[in-house]
Amino acid sequence: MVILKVENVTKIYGKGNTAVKALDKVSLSVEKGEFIAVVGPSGSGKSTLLHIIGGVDNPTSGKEYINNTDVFSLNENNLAIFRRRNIGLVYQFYNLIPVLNVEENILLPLLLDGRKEDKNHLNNLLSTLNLSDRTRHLPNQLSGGQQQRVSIGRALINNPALVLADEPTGNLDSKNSAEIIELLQYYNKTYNQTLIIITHDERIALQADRIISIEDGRIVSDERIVRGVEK
Amino acid sequence: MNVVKRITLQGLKKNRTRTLVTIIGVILSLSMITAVTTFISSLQSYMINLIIEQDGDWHVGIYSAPQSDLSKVKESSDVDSYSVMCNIGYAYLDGGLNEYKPYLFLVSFTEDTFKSFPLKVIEGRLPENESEIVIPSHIYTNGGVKFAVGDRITLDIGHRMTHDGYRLTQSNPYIKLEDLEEQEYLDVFTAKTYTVVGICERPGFERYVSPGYTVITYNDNPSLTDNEFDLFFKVKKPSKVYEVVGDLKLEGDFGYHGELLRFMGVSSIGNLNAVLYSIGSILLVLIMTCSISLIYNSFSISVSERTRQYGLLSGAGATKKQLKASVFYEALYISVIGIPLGILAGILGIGVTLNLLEDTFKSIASANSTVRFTLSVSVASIAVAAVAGIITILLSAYIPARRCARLSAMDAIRQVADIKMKPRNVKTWRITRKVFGIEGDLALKNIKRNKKRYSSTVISLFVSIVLFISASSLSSYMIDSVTTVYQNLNYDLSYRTGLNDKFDEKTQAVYERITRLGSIKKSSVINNMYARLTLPKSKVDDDYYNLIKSHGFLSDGDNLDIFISLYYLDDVTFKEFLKEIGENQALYFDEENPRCLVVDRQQYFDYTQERMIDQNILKQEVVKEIDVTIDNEQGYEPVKLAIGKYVSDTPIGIRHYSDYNSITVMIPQSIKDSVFAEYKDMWDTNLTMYFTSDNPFKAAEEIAEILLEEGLSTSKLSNHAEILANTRNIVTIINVFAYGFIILISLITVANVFNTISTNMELRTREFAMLRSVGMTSKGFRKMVSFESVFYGLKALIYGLPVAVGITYLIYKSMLQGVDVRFYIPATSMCITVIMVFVVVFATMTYSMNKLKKKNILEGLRIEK
Ligand SMILES: Nc1ncnc2c1ncn2[C@@H]1O[C@H](COP(=O)(O)OP(=O)(O)O)[C@@H](O)[C@H]1O
Ligand SMILES: [Mg+2]
Repeated sequence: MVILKVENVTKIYGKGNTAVKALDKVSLSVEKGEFIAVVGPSGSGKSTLLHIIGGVDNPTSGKEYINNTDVFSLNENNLAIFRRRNIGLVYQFYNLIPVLNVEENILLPLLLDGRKEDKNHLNNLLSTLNLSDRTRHLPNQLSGGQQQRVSIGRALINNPALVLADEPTGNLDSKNSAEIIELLQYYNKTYNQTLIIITHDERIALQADRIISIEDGRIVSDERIVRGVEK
Repeated sequence: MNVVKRITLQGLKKNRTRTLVTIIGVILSLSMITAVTTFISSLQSYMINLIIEQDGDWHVGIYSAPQSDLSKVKESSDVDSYSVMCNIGYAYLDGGLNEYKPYLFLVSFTEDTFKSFPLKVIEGRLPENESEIVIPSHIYTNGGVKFAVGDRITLDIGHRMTHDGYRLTQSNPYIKLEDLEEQEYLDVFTAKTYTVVGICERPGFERYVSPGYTVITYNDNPSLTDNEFDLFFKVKKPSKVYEVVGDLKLEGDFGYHGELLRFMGVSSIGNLNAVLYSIGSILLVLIMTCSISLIYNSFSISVSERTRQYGLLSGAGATKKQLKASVFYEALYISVIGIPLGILAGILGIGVTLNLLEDTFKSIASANSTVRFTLSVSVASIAVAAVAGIITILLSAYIPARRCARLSAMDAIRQVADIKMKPRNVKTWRITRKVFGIEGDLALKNIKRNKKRYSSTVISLFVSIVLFISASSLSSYMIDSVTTVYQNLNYDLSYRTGLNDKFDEKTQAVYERITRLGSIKKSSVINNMYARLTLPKSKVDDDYYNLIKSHGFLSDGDNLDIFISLYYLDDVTFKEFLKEIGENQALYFDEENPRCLVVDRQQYFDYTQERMIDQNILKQEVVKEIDVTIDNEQGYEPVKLAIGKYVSDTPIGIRHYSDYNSITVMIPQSIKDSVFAEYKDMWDTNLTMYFTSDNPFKAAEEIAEILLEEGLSTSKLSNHAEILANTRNIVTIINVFAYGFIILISLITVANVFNTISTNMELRTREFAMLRSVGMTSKGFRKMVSFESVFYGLKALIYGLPVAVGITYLIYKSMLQGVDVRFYIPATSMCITVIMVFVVVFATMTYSMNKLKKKNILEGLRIEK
């Protein structure tokens, strides 16, 4: 089942002489449950693509469908609501709300929706994230790895169809990086969530089902990893 | 340029809006300070000019000076200039009305004397030779004798002598004695004919007790004889005047021009400058305190914003001294722009204000002066303002600078000072989220997090709220105190005759002449006396009886003693009034059954009960008749008066309410003459005429003319409209300055609140972007920001309003010592404050929010920590 469809998306920053074409007619189709790694040199347009997929940035032209919804036909308000129900975003800089504690940060998309949390789901999530004893801590009392786990928790609390992570391990040491990727992978496999990760780390990319390479705003290769023997 | 300076300057440029707003804050505060200092210097120079106009431009005067003193003054190198006033002598003023000023006093001026004693010519010109004179206008207005330009008059000139041979001067008042033998007389030594060439204003040096109207002639080269002239001189350095006079060893009787020297700051006795300076200092300290509490905020924002930069600097080996210096560089840059502009703005502001208020000021200061109250900027006033401004800015910069230097390099890099947060610091009640949603909860948490920074905004708001309300309370109390006295008068002009109730034919004639004037609409002649009335409980209104009882003045069942203000009015007015209220006129003029009109209304503020009393004394349906008891030695019987009607309207000259514990009783003059014949001598000495007019100023002039023609003094003619106009002028002045102050302080606050809030919002760009990326809608976003505004405003108001009410109460208490005012909660200004606070906070938040919204989410997210 196709969950995400990107059609001929172009993104141009600026105007006239200083215009930068960050994405050039990118098309892409993603199946539910896929784990995709996006790689490419710095400045090639990876983040731009991810943000457009996540609905936090508008393309200059082109279309995007998530679960058959035409994302950019939504008005601002509906887009915000769509985002908090269907998409989980994880950033390199954890972007937590400093005044909210761990639990509140994780629950934020639900709170904004005015929905009650599912205690079981939350507790499971907290223990999987290894944050059970940190629920009342504020972000500035946590290590970088812990903070990133909180932001993953926030991305996952809604059981979103699509989890997008932009260099989630860029600021972490290798041990913490490994943990984070394991977590994302765990949810990808357990809940059949679709996961797209931007990374510079070859070892991470090689764990994905599919690697998309971008250069100069174009997809230059799109290959599936065949893990022969096991599968 | 060293690196610290460069970083400072870059920071200022990068945050252009904030720098600008800070500079505006400095400009506002400086302009207030300058306004105070230049107002004081303007007032001083106005007073000096006024004194010079009135009493002349000199420092030391020698009266009846010997020739030897003149040569000493002439030769002294410390003397700047001198002038002589030759006393020629006295002559009788024919037809003068003022019995205490029977003379003309002739003096001759030189060219220099006219400079020392500037005369204001109303008509014609100044004299140019020994046979020309200028006549002061008060010979007519005060003495009733009219001279015209061109008149030639011959005067028998002499000295005033006592019977035992002393010569009298202008400082000896005229004393009229029964015994003509003892009476002073004029020893005539010459006769001379003069031509009147001009009329001038009353010279200020003529004292009110002086028996001669000063008449001035000209002689530039008078032959001076000992003791026949007064000598006046100015010294080069006024501050050295006492030493100079000591060195001169004068022989004559000399005196200092004390008032002038006082305003020049030389004399220290009863120094009015001291009063001015101390009021000025209090104002300056007040303004500076506010300004510091406001401006310091701006500095602390930029310091904390650049803490990281400073941290990197100190990590790179910058010393704490250098860091502190950078804050002071910032202060310097801001001062260099803000202080001169602020001083200019202040001068401009006060200049325009004085210009607009000039007439208003003059009318209360000195109505018949031509000295203009204009802007006068002294070097000292600017210097004081500049120094005060520098102190303000330095102190504002010192607080954040100290904090900045206290941080360790690592702390600074991590900006821990700003985000020292513990879970309990951001704890909110569960209910907040239930009621206000996550947005309200977040708003409250944000406020709590930024306690330090927000508290400075809250403090600024608090200071302005308190100042705004207290200043408007103060001004409204001051206005109350000047206005209450003159309210509720139903006439425009009054003239107290001082005739001992002799409403004789002459007074009658004058009164009728006045009433025939076109400018007079209505009139009355009224006089009064006091009487007593004893009432049994059954005749007293129950509420009033209980009120008096509650004060402990009587016990239940006692009779109540009250006063009667007994008025009589001229028959014409009385009849007219009867017609107005629809009463039968004949009944009131029946000598056998005299009838009266009664005002029975108490209106005053009761301090023990703390409420306004509006109450009648008599049980009106029962009391149809009163026994007017007049205290007298002869023991006459009380006079019985039937009550024709209880009235609430009154004829002009009589108030519509009565004095405390008394009623007002009115009868016509003819009844007074017959029924009260025995009490002839007990009426007040001042029979008073009251007039209404559409043009009271014109009417006043015309009445004065009639009075003068009839040989009556005009001094007891009062123009209520003029008094009212003066009152209104005082009110205007109080308002202009109070609101000027309030508006400027408010603007400083707005600038400051703007800076704090918008910076705070900017610092949170990333956080906002994040919230939006996880799906906070614009509506939710607005909701959160609005909640923050409300919390802010509420906090400032919760502290500010009670304190402001408290200060209002203190103001009320201190005013109470001088005048009767009532305490009230300053509701209007409180409402305005509440609205203003929310408007300012909301507007700023909306402004910064819109600015943020223009950036898309990504830009927000991209800003790296
Ligand atoms: N807001 C922006 N304004 C102008 N150019 C931008 C903006 N954001 C990104 N770009 C440009 O678009 C291109 C792609 O950027 P990005 O998607 O961030 O690359 P990557 O994430 O692969 O490093 C780059 O050349 C970048 O400079
Ligand atoms: Mg990127």
